[in-house]
Amino acid sequence: MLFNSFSFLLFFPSICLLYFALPARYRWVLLLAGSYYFYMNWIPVYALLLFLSTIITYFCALLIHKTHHASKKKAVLLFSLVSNFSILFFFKYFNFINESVFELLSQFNMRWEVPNLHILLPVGISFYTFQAVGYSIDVYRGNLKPEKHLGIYALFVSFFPQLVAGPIERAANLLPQFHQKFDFNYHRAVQGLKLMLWGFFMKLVVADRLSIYVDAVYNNADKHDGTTLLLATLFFTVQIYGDFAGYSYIAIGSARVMGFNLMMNFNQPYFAKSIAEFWSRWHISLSTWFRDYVYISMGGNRVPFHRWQFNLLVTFLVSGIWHGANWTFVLWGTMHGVFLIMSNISKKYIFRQSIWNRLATNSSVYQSLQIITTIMLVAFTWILFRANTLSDAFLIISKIFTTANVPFIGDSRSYMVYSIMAIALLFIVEYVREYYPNIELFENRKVQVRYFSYTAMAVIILLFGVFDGGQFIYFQF
Amino acid sequence: MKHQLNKFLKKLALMLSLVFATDFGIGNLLEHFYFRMGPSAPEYNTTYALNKAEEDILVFGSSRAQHHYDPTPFEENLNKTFYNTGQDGQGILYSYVVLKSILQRSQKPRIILLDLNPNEFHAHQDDYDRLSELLPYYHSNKAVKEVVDLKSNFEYLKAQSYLYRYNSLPLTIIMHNLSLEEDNTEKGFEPIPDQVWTEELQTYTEEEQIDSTEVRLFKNFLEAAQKANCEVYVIISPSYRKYSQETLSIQLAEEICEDLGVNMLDYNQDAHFLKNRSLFVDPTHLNEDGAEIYSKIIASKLTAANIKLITGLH
Repeated sequence: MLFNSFSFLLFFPSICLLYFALPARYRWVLLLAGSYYFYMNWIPVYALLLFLSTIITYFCALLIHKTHHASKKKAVLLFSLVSNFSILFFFKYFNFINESVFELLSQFNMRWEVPNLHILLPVGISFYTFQAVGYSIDVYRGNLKPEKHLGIYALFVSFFPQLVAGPIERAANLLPQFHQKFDFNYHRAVQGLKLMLWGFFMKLVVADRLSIYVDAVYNNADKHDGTTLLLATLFFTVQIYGDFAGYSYIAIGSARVMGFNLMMNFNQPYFAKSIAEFWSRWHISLSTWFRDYVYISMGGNRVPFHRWQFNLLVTFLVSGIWHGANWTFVLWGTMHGVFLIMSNISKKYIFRQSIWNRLATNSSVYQSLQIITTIMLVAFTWILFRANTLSDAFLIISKIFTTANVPFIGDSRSYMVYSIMAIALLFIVEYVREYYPNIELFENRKVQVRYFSYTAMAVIILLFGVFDGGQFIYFQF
Repeated sequence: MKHQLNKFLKKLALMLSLVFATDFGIGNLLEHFYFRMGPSAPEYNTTYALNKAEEDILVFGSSRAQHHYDPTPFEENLNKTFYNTGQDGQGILYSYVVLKSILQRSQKPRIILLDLNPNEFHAHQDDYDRLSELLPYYHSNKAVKEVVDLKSNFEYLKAQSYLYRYNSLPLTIIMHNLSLEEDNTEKGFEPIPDQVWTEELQTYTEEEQIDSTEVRLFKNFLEAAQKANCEVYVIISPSYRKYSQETLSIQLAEEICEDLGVNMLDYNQDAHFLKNRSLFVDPTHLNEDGAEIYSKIIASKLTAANIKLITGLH
């Protein structure tokens, strides 16, 4: 079930009503059943994978906690990680590895005839696998006691608001909330609905609108010139944000209506002044996951300088692979790692003088330049992220730098006007949130202003939202 | 908790009332101006086809119909009035709605040309999504409702919103009420001038998953037209791509036409057009010159058939 489907509009209020009507001790049953129903709306049989991942991590965590031998603990953890990642590998990466081996061996005139698998990627498998694996590691490290209640644990892995596209929650934050009794709270419900409303705007009005142009151009990259490809890349820069952040807002909002606090996943990422800051604002739940379970496991930055850079590169390489089974994602992640390494090198060897620091903190022009540079670098990497193949990506990059013409607009000028209006509205709101958080319309002290802004937002969504044909980009992850 | 819930429900009711009132107010305004749009608007063709078209010869189909059937040769050769109801991005679902709407009126067409795509019945969600174009007529036209409801289980509920029915249309409505756009059509036909396809002929294959609803509506279309005593032709217009074999859609269409005794003319792989890419703008659409040549061919074919019909020669 998609958040932007009419089914969800019926499902969510029904779940909420039942949730608050039920005695607290039965609520987990409702949420668990609802979450599996939500998931099974896609390909029902894939719920078995979700269940399998739940069972493995649940029993492994109990075993890890009970065992006193370090080597046995490690072995059980290893079993949990290997079995979870094997499922992920089989469904997500098998064809990619198979094709890559085929390509590699063909270069040496060698044959490789293992057929590809004709299976669909289970929705959200990367998200729930990481959430469950994170739980196992937390228990292994002794940061968390294992959850004894299988039903509650199963709910932690499958909780419908964040099941298919995050935020990837930490057990320490979410598990205890399933044991709490949440009475209906007016302010929490209103806050949740506001987040959902904004999420729907980002998804339906911004992302899905822009995706029409981006798809038309990127799927025929050879037919367009550099200006069109540049415009599509800038659109994709906004689209991916609208898509993913919009989905996160809906997830966080719907959980909040029921009383649950999920972690914020985006924090005006396009106002970041460096790539490092961008990653502290973009997909926060994933970047902190990689920080805690990959980067720190390798020693983080408490190692010699060159080793620290290596750790960064590996972390971003793995992050790239997590995002998709394609060399484009590998290169995308690597590029972000390289940017960070370059930034660290420049900080260490070039811009150490305090005059630069003073300039950076005091000059608004300098800060604006930093923001623009960061956006441009990030947008450049999005080419790799969106392109269908590596050769497409290189073609697009070369065309952007070598050919120019009037951008392709298609036969609908109104489409462009709606797109630009949507982007403008998104960035005005983001700008206000970043620099003037006290004047937000949704939080205005005057009730008339608040009601007007809610109504206006609903009208904008109904009138300019794209309701058909949209799939969340992150579903391929 | 009860107090908080009551407060929430009251405010939610107020909020929803505001949204419904705005939906009604702005929606009515949009509706009013939507039906005042001039012929320059693509939507005008739909309004005309659904509510007014009563010409002798009517063309149905997708963008290929809209860009391929020039009225002049038909009007001159057959001495009959002509209108092209073809619409960009649409297919048999749309054609069925238009025909049903036209047949509900007293004046029936005499000749119906239904242009089919070579992969007409290939199942594709876009075919249903694009029916959104018919939403402004949802509450005033039974045939529209019947087909638009196929989009999803909840379309009936969604269509209660005025704003949803006029989704993405405000700017179009403004531009075409202020006559800011030119009318490039002639009796529904929209020629594509000054563009020529330059790429080589390529072989095209697409694995087809047949949409049984589309096949059923195709059959219903033909039966309804025959019942209204219309002379029906199912035509596949030329493509500039080589099909290695006859598509499943064409095979099905042939079978149904044969069963019902409907004429079928297949120009998809016509040698004259396959040899001449300068008549195309892309592999599936003829340009203005191509449309003129093709329309003359079809018009003369119909003239010959009409003479046979009148004189009893077979």
